[in-house]
Amino acid sequence: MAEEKKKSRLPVYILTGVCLFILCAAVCIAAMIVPYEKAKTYLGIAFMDQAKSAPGTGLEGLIIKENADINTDPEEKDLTEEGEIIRPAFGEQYAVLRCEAAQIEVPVFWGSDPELLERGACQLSSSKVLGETGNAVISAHVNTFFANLSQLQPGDTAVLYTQYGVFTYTVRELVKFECTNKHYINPTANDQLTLYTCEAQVLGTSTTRIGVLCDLTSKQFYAASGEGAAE
Amino acid sequence: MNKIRAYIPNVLLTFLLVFALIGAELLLFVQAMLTPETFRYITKQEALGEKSYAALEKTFTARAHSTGIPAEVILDTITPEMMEQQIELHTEQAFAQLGIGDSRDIAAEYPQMEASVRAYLENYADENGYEKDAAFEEKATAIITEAEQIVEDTADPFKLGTLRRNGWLDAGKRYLGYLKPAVIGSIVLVILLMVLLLFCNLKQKPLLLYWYGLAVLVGGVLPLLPCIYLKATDYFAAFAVKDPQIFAAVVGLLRLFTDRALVMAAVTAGCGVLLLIVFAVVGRKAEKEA
Repeated sequence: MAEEKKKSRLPVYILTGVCLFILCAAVCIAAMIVPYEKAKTYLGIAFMDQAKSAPGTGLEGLIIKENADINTDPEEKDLTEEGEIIRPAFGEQYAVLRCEAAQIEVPVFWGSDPELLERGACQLSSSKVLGETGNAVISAHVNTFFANLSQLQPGDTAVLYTQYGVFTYTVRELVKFECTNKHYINPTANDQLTLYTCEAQVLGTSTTRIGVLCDLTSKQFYAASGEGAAE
Repeated sequence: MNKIRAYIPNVLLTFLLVFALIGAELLLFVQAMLTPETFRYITKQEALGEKSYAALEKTFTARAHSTGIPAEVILDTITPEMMEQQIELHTEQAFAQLGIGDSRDIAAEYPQMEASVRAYLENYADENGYEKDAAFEEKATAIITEAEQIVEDTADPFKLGTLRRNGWLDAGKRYLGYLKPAVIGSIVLVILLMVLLLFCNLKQKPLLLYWYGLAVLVGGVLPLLPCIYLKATDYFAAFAVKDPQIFAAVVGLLRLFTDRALVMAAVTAGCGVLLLIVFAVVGRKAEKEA
């Protein structure tokens, strides 16, 4: 009889434990709903790297791709008025800028980053890819690649060579603005090229930017994408 | 009927004891972990001094193109050890503002860096015939201040300065003022509930071990589960800020908190299991004697 009693208590002990655990867990979950809902957005932003990459593992950060195959001396017969734009990846050199009037010839990288600025000029990834309608914004350091940018005058020509086409612009206006002023790098309705750099200063960095606004005068594509590669 | 009468208060008291235990665990954990020593441990463990110095190297090398000041002019006056000291100083100051520990009343100064930059600028001005007038002085001061600010920001991988500027430390101080009374209160509550359980089980003392064991086990397992989830999924590796020194500081700290919380919860759950085993042994012995 005593054995029976003892046996019958064990399920009660276990069931009580399980029920208590479920009840406590349910209360905890219910109590956490409101704080979690409030924190969800912030957690989503703070822990958004789905790849869970550690710094410097190569899964994150800048992948620079230089491109020596851009043809800066294309033949007229290879070019047409219609063509396909090849969208570059961040950190990829996708154009060469040539402004003969200021002796500028510089590789243009897609995206702006201190490492890229050491290698050439950078086009803001928020601006339009060459060939698309809008504002293409390119900048470089004043003490390296854009040292002579201030020599450009209205009427001078700036040519951009890419793997998919050649784009020629004419300088329309010289501009000077504060680095906080985003007016000149904002999107535009017309085909425009904006080139800018820091104002040259003997000591330290300047907060003033100087640049040129250019209008598109000719847009030519290679008959087939990538035909502009070095022959 | 009598058994049910005794059973319900026991369940209710155990239920309350579980949450009192979780609360006490949480408050004790916060009190134990929120110290400058924890941050110092992470600073050493994650070599934050070296990582911050590497970040400075990168910043000043990149800036050399726009400022014209070679990175060595600044970097030669700073060492990883200096950066580590600055990190510790920032930590101390932040905790002093929280009302935890004292802070050395030292303003961040970099006299060697200032002298080095000034010497470079003066030399540059001499070589280029730049007049050393009030405008020169103003520019030189601005360059030095900017460089010092960059060093200061980099020497704060825990971003305690940002928390201070946004008033979070002041808000934290208000709440932390209640921490000690809350810890004492939670411990008193746990003891009170245990005493009440004792009164409910005066006639069946071995059963008391069951209720205690159950409360401690559930109070250990519940915090253990989220810790296991965070460890198993390596959740904090998804931290979006990938600056090496910030990533190492923040993720290192969060991982340390998780590890310590996991150990604490596992020990609590282990105590619960132990109490239940003792109950099984003692209960069987008492029944045999009966």
